[in-house]
Amino acid sequence: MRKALPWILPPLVVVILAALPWFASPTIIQFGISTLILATLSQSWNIIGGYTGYASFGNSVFYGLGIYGTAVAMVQFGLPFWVGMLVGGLLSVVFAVLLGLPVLRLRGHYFAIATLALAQVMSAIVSNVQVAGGNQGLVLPLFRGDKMFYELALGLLVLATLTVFWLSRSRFGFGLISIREDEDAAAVMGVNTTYYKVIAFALSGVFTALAGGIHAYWITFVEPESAFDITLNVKMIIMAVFGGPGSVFGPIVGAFVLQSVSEILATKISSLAGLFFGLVIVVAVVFMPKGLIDLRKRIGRLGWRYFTRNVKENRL
Amino acid sequence: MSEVLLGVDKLGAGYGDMAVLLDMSFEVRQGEIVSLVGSNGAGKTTLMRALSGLLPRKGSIRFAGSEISGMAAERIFSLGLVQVPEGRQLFGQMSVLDNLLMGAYLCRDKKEEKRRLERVFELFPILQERRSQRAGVFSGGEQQMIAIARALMAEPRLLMVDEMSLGLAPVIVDKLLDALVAIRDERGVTVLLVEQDVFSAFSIADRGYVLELGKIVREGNAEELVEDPEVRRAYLGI
Repeated sequence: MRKALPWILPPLVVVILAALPWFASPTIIQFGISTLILATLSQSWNIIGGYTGYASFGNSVFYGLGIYGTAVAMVQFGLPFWVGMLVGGLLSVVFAVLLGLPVLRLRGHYFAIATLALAQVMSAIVSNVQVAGGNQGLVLPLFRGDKMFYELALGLLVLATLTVFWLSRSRFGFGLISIREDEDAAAVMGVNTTYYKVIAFALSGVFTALAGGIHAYWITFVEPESAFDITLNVKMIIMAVFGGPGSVFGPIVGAFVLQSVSEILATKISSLAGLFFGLVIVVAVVFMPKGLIDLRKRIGRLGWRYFTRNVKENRL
Repeated sequence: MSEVLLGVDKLGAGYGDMAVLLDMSFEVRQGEIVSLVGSNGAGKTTLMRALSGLLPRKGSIRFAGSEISGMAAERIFSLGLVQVPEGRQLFGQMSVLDNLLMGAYLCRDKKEEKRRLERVFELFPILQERRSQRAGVFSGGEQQMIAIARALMAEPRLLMVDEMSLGLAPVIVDKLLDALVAIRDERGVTVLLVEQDVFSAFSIADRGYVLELGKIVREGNAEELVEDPEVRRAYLGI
């Protein structure tokens, strides 16, 4: 029974989550949509950040491209929603390949800084593009169907998670992990690092862009500032790191836990909610740098020593 | 004389505008152990990187009958030219077993992978006992052993070992040198040893080259080179 649990539990949770909109209040469904989208973003970031070890701050660019791809296709060209999502996804792949090739040559902080700049630049560019509505943004056709958005977001999260699950047990994923551990050694062992990194970046980008597409149609209004919002990227990272980067379920757990707590805080004491994310990242990095998943695995055996050991091992 | 496995002709390589290797030529024959010695900054590691395809290079490199000077690193690796990099470069957070499996990354046949693993464990039994431990917790000598074992998992034709003695006690270095000889004798793997430590490098080598400022300045049998007055003066301080 214990052995079968990991195979039964996730599908069960998916079924329960899928059934939720039929008996939950509209507020819960709305909360569900935004949390599912965030979990998808965090899971996508996990591919490039958690598995490959490249701390990307450029994922908000993918998100923005997904948002704008969908919005422009629907508003300016009158195309259906699913075509818009496809456009956004394609844009993000093109972006990942074209910019990934030069930017993924940078490592560590340099990669983080370069991708951070990309997000800022994209927002400035889009503000000046006529077809994207410039600074004014675009208004999408209104569609009242939170149930559909909810199920779509859930489906996308499942798809992203299945992809990460595949990564965790495939040759390709093994190659990515080796790049994270030591890129030179991986190259010497016959891993085509450039190709692997670009594919990881593109995979991360596609899921992020599709989530952006759902968000755009759901919110029905897009503008450059919020589409390429860097704080959203920070959120993805916090959620993934808090849950457990480089694990299959860590980013999802991180997203759900953090979203719930921050939502409760926001309603009870709104002034504290802003502080919350900063506090979480500090605590997580110092005491549990491998996230909730690792904590759950090892705290039973180590107890409080788990935290002191982490502080000692990762001298700050 | 056996056939030439690696033939390097007028090799040039460097970083950006800075040339480190200038018109370097040497060869390694099938079944030999060849040592290439040089002091700090002579271009040893640059040579390794150039041969492995990690740096842009000029001139000709022939390996096992193919011209590899224009090939990408993973192609060269798949031909059987495998490097044990300087400083070992293990995947520290991964287990010994996973590190070894990384060496057989290009092998898609599970059975073959298992066979290679058994052969490596035969050579280094201690790795089998400790296969599930993290590579990062091993001592320097043991890590070097893992690095060599990982390279062997790729079934190399030529094993290039970069600065094996770096930071290791002489006793440990001797053991690793014995292992290299065993690898050559029992498996027929040709070895190119690039070293700063002249004594240990020439103690097991058939032939040797002395590298200085990106050029080969001396070559010959290992015993002759150790006796060479100039080599002794420059590297042994005698």
